[in-house]
Amino acid sequence: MLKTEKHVLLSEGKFQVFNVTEQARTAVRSAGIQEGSVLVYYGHTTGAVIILEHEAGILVDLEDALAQIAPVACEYKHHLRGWDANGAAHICSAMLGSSVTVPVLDGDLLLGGYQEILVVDMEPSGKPRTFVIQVAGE
Amino acid sequence: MANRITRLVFWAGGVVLPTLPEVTASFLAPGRPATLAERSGLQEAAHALAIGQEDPGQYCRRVTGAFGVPGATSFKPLYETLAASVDALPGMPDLIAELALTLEVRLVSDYPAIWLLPALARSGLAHCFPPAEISYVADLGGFPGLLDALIAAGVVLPGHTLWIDAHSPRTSEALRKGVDADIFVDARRLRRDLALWRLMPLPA
Repeated sequence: MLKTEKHVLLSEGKFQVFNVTEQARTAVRSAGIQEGSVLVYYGHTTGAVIILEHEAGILVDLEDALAQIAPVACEYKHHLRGWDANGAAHICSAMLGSSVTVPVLDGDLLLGGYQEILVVDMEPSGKPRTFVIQVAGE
Repeated sequence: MANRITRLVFWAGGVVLPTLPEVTASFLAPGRPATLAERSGLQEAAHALAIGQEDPGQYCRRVTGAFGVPGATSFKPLYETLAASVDALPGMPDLIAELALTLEVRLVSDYPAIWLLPALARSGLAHCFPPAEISYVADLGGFPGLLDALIAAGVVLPGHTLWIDAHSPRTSEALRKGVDADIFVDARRLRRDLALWRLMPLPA
């Protein structure tokens, strides 16, 4: 069984975080699989999908840590073409990664007690953002 | 030792009540998901309403138009339905009532009073959030100025207030201004989070 869903988030950008754990869980249940995996994939280069505790302080700490590595206000080579100014978001996206895979057993996600699936949009402006949930298993 | 957090400030839409776009879509497009264009229209209209740029009647006119509902009179049923049908999110009335026994609870509303107050009464929350203790975003302006205004008004007490909100940019802004914050997911998760803050017992 392979089932793929596309979802669109209306994001404000600037490190807005969306908890998509329940959507992944719902996709697994509607697919009816007992054992397999679920992939959550972000369809853009200025955001990420991560597994983290969805806690307000951790999100600020993560944003601050990333800003030390890739500050928003910086002269990125990417900005030279003059099309956009989201170099920091691209660097952070590359560091965090565009997808996560979570194992499924007994029809549910094998997440730890504090693990949640978060989509992080680091684009400097708000846009619709697409992510994909793909369930595989039997 | 007494907990330094003595006051919980709840955001209305998405924490105590469903978000206004969600509940509006459920009335205008029952049984189907709203399209991306409809969702965008709802989000823009709800923002304009929340910050006081438009009134509830204008909101209803705008969103019925975004959903392609024909006719100038079609907004009125929505206006009345929102006043008569919005209910608290599952588990929230019991949880807030329990919290109000030992902590101060306050509400910051992106809903207008005309829809908020009946929803609180229907949900049994009117006694937890008396009208005089509700702060309306429309009266105070949008974020981040809203948080400053709430601090200046003594509604939010940095160091003693936990800001409870489903919107991560606002919780991050609160933390950066020295206000503790919790991201709302659902009542069960909030109960767990408040236990981790030692504001209530751990759930069984």
